Order: sequence, then structure tokens, then C-alpha cells
Amino acid sequence: MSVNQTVKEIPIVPLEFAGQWIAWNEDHSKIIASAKHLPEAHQKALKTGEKHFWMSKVPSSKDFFGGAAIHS
Amino acid sequence: MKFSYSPFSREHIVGAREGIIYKPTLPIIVHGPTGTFGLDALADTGSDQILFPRYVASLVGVSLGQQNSAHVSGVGEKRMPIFFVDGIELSLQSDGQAYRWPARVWFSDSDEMPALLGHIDFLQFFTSTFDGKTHELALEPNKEFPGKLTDLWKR
Repeated sequence: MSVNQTVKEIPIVPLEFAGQWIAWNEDHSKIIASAKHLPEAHQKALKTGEKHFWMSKVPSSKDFFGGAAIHS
Repeated sequence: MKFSYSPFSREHIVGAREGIIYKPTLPIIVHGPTGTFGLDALADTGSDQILFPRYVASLVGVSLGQQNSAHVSGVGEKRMPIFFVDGIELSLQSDGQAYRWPARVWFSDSDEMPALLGHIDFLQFFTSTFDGKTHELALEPNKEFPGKLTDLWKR
């Protein structure tokens, strides 16, 4: 595997999906399902018949996002 | 291997123009005892650990117990329970093949968060170059990488 391999450019996620979970098809060329909550979006994706897909959390259109750290 | 950032449309926020925000996400597959789950996870240099939404745990066949719980916090004071699970493997695809490795993984108590790939068992195993101009993340396994090349989606 070469370090220079590059995945194809991912399409821009439209504003209408902001804050939702979406499912990309296997090559990230098409959004095949979406919903506010992950379980619902995942179930919708399964019903499309796509064998492999990727779930993705779309960021809010109006909020910034920060990272996370463990505290026991 | 290089990965294009994911572009998302965004409205105007104070201090940031409307338009597109790019995030360094990676297509990662979670391999558990009974299943796999594919999701785009954020490469997060500010995160200590790997953190996935709770829903993923049930689909890959792991149960979350209070005996393995901790808390996670981000910006601000809000803390959220998280659950450590052993016996998970992750894979990262490139051109039909995947790097696969065992990883210590935590699951959130919530599904309302993106998957995060932090330092423990992810960033520590790769030399990572975040190219803000081309919106690409280059990853190269380092000498500490404990995994192997394998076929994609194999349980």
C-alpha cells in the first residue's frame, strides 16, 4: 500500500443535513439515508439494500465543535 | 495513504464565514465479536482516546458495563459517561485493502456525537500529516503499529 494513495474527493454535504446522521454509499459518492438519530438513520440505510455503507454525523450548521478527553 | 477531508455546508457563525467547513474524517470499520460497523470518524488530535456512539456497541456485539465506566469532557464543564470495551479491532481502508489492528475503544453514553479517533491506539500508531491547504490527511503506520493488512469488511 502506497502512502500516496488518495480516496476520491467527497461531495459537499448540503445544509439540509446539518445536525443529522447520514449514510454514505460505499464509495462516498451518494447519501443514501438520513435521520436525526443514528439508529433511525442506520435502519433506513439497511433498507436501501446497500451492502456496505458509512454512517457519518453531520456537524451543526451553527455551532463549533471541540475535542474530548478522559476523566475517571 | 491519504484521505480527503469531508466538506460540510455551514451557515454564518460569529467569527466564521458561511460556506464550507472541512473535517479530517476517516472511513473506519469497527470489528466486534458478532458484527462490523462502518462509519466516518474524526481524526481528533485533541482527544485522548477512541470514542464511538453507544449504538455501535450493540451492533458489533459488545455490552457496556458500569464496572468499565469513566467520564469524558470536552470544552466546558459538562462530563459524559463512557464505557471501555476490550476485544475490538479497527480497520482503515485504502484501495480495497485495510490496515486492521486491535484497539482499546470507549463507547459514549450517547449517539449524538461524532466518532472520534484520538491518541490511544490510533494517532499513536501513525505519522499523521494534516494538510490544511489541500484538505487531505496523510497517514503512515509507524513502528508501533500492531496490526496487519487484511481484506476489507472481513469479520
